[in-house]
Amino acid sequence: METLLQDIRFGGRMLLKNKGFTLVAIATLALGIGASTAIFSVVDAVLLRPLPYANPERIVSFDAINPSAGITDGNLSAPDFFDWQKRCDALEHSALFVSGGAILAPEKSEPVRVPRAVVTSDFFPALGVQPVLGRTFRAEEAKAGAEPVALLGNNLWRRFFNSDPSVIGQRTSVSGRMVTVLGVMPAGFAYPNGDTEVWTSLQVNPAKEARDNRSFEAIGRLKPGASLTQAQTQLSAINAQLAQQFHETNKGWDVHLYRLQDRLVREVRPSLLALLGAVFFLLLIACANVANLLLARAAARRREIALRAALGASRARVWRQLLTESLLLALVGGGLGLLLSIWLADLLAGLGLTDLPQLASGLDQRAVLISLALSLFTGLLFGAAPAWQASRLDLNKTLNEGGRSGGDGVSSRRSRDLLLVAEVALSLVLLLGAALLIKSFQHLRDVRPGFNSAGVLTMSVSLPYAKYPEDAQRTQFFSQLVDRVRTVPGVQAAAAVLSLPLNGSNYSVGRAFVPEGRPQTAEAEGNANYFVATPGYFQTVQIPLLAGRDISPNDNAKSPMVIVINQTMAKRYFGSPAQSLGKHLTVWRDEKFAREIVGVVGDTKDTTLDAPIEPQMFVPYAQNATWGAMSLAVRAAIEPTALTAAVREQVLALDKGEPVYRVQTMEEVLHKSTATRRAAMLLLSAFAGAALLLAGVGIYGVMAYSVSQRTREIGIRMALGAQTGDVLRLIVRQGMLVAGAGAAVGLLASLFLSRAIGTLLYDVRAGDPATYAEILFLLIAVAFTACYWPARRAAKLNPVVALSEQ
Amino acid sequence: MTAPLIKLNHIERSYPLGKQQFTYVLRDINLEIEEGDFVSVMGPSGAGKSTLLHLLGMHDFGWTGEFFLDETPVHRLKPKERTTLRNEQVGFVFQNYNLLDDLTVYENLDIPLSYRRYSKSERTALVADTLDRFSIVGKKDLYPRQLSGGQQQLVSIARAVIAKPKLILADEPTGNLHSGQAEEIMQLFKKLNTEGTTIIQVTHSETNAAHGNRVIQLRDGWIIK
Repeated sequence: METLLQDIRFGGRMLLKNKGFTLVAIATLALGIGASTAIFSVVDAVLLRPLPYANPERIVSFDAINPSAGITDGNLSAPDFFDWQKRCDALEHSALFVSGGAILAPEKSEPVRVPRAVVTSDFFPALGVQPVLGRTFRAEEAKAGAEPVALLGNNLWRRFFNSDPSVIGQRTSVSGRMVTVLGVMPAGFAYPNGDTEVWTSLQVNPAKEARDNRSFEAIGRLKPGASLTQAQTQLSAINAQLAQQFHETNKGWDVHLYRLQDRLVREVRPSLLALLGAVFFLLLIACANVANLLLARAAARRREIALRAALGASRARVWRQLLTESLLLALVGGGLGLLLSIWLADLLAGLGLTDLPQLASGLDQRAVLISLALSLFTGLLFGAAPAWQASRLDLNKTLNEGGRSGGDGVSSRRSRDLLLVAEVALSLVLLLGAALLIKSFQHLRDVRPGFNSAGVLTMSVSLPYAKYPEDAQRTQFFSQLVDRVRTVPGVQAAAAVLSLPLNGSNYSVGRAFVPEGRPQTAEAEGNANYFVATPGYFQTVQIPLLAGRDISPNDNAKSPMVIVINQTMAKRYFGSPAQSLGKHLTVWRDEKFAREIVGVVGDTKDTTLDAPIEPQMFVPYAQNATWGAMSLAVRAAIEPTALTAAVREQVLALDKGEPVYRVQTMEEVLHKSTATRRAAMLLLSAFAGAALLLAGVGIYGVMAYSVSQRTREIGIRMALGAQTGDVLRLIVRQGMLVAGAGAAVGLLASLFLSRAIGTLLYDVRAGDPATYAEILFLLIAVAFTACYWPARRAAKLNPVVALSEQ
Repeated sequence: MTAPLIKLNHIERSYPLGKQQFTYVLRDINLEIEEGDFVSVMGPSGAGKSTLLHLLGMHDFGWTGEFFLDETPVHRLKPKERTTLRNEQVGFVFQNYNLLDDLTVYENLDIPLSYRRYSKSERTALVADTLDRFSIVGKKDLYPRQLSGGQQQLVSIARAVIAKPKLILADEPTGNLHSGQAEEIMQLFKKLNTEGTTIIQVTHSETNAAHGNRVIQLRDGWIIK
């Protein structure tokens, strides 16, 4: 124990003595360990940690698919779902739900909009979650006409009901209806939206629901012993039968079953795995760098180590001494890395890499353990090579050399060169990954969304059906609201629309239609994204009108039924925008009449910038006011956020019980639509930049050390006639050979590894030759610079001084 | 009358000690050495012998005074011109041989030629000649660590003469050798000198100095004889 303390003391003293070395090593390790811990914490929270529900591996999620229509993650219809529920015996529980919002108006509080899910009674058993107070829904509460009931989220219960347990059985207003509170859910439970605060009972009568109304989501729980494949096979078989039985509505439709956890992380998984790979590489580069530094230092300390051995230190003792020093370094670096990772974890949460709620937990005990384990692992990893070499010294030779001449052995040099090759190779892979992502992002940024996002404020208003049961009431509300908003100083234009571009309303509707002259059958139908909008919408968001006219105030429930379509739809189904005008189409599954195409507008991106343009149909809100939830778009002559309060006032002036929500500018919508890509790109670029810096420092360090070791040799060469250029070439060639070997290995590795980020790329190939050439040039330039400075120093050596280094 | 091979006028070499303070290693050196001389520079440690040798070898540029080598005013040459002149005229032999550890005997001999931009075929021919001349053909693929001290010094001298310099500078060439080996090296120098090469050696040994035709004594930076 005492000798161990002695080792620690001496190790500490050695680290303090070589401040430059210690600082570089600790900073390198802190960077590697910090970045790894932060990203691993996210990956652990999002991908690895099981969902906080009972037997989460048995919870499944349903996605409707229709391969022939290109639908891979659609919603479900209620009648289909109830057929599956009845006939699939691999499922223990399954539940239908719809998520959205509700206006909660507890007594003594202002009405507030809260995220809500409307769910069938099996929802909670399917998830395996129990309330902390009261009970969940019963089957009879899902029947039409049953008394409305609700469950409260824990946070909402604390905020609005002061954690009062007597809330159970009380009645409160949810979206204009009085509902009875049945229970309070545990803290942290917020499925399905990650922020859901109220669950009400879904009352649905399958007999009255249309099979082609696919607007529901579903989850289920596998029976113990049943597999996902079993359930999938059964459901597909049932769907095949339904497609025969209900040909018009079900042909081509099936369902894809996922484990719920896989479904939740589907979008973010590729980015996270790419980043995990990147930080692992960064950590390896950091280790290689520190190992190189330690190898160099061990070579410089050969005489000290030989002296220790001559004085009786065993091989094990030499190992222990050197490993103690490397572990000390690693632990200090790991401690700083942990601090760095706390900061990085906050940064990650703010970058919008994922909006999954698991991230909110930040760093936890596991992250600290990971950091500690990484520190110990790296300490042993980079400390082992120098310790091994030092313990094999030839005492007689080393002591006779006086520890100055001759430098270190071939194996030590080879170890350093190999580490450098690995470092350069890893850096190249990282740099290529980052460069490909940067190019993708640049291409994505160049994509025109089809509208002008600058200067537009948006917000949502949701009219409860209980309060606004008639279409005319809703039409009047939004018509008055838009008129009032237009009078607000600073407002140039305003309109309401069902869903904003780029998923700005977090809601979208698809509808089937049949162009005139075709039979009203499933075979003849086309599909398009469906919007209802008030007059002036295109002008407000500046979607260009290509032919015909805009939706006008004269288009109302009593006037001829009209529709505006986008350019893609016009070209695909009618030949051209001009040829579309005056033609008719029928949204045949929902409406029994034809609409005349009166206008054609430019294409806009509906979901994401990288998604292809889909056909779009715009119907006057006054001719279909089915939806009470609409988004308001306001074009401002001033800073758009400055209008928020004034516009909100106009809503409250019409109905003081109507809160506005999802207040954001269109610029923010645009920004959000690329947030994951931007975050992945920024992080990978930062890691790649760090890797490049570390590789540069690594090459420089090794070359500088090599020059110091070769001083005598360089002196001899100069004495024998070498000129400045000869010495420069000698040193640079040595470094560039190693860098070149690393680049070659890195290129080969990249050809395979860059495919891993293929799904993150947009409009650039994983093997893009131009990117490869640019990155190769960059890396070679950095390697050359890192070699050049030590080489220049070598070339400036005074041969007399160099030769005196005997 | 021909000009001397080396002519030094008022050469001084000093190193700064502190503010405005200098320590002089060579003081007012005036010296002429004729072509074909075999000169031994002697004196106690710190007398300035090695400094003088490195000055003559144009490894050191921090001196003042005039230095003519084969009538070329070295003191007026730019560093690159001095290197070129050195490569043309001078070969160096060190006390501890200074062979390059990671190169074979053959490669060590090839090195000075490569720095003098000889063609590949010329280099091959010259190295082969030199190996033969010094009877070390059998050792051409060995590394320095596989040779005895005497053999290493033999290679070192072979390397010094391979580019056919007019002048060989040797810094205690037998310092690390036993007397038998030392005698062989001196015989070799004598032979090279007889063939026309000017030799200047630094030595502590009277016996070695006796092989030459002239001795220069240095003390505290001054030539005393």
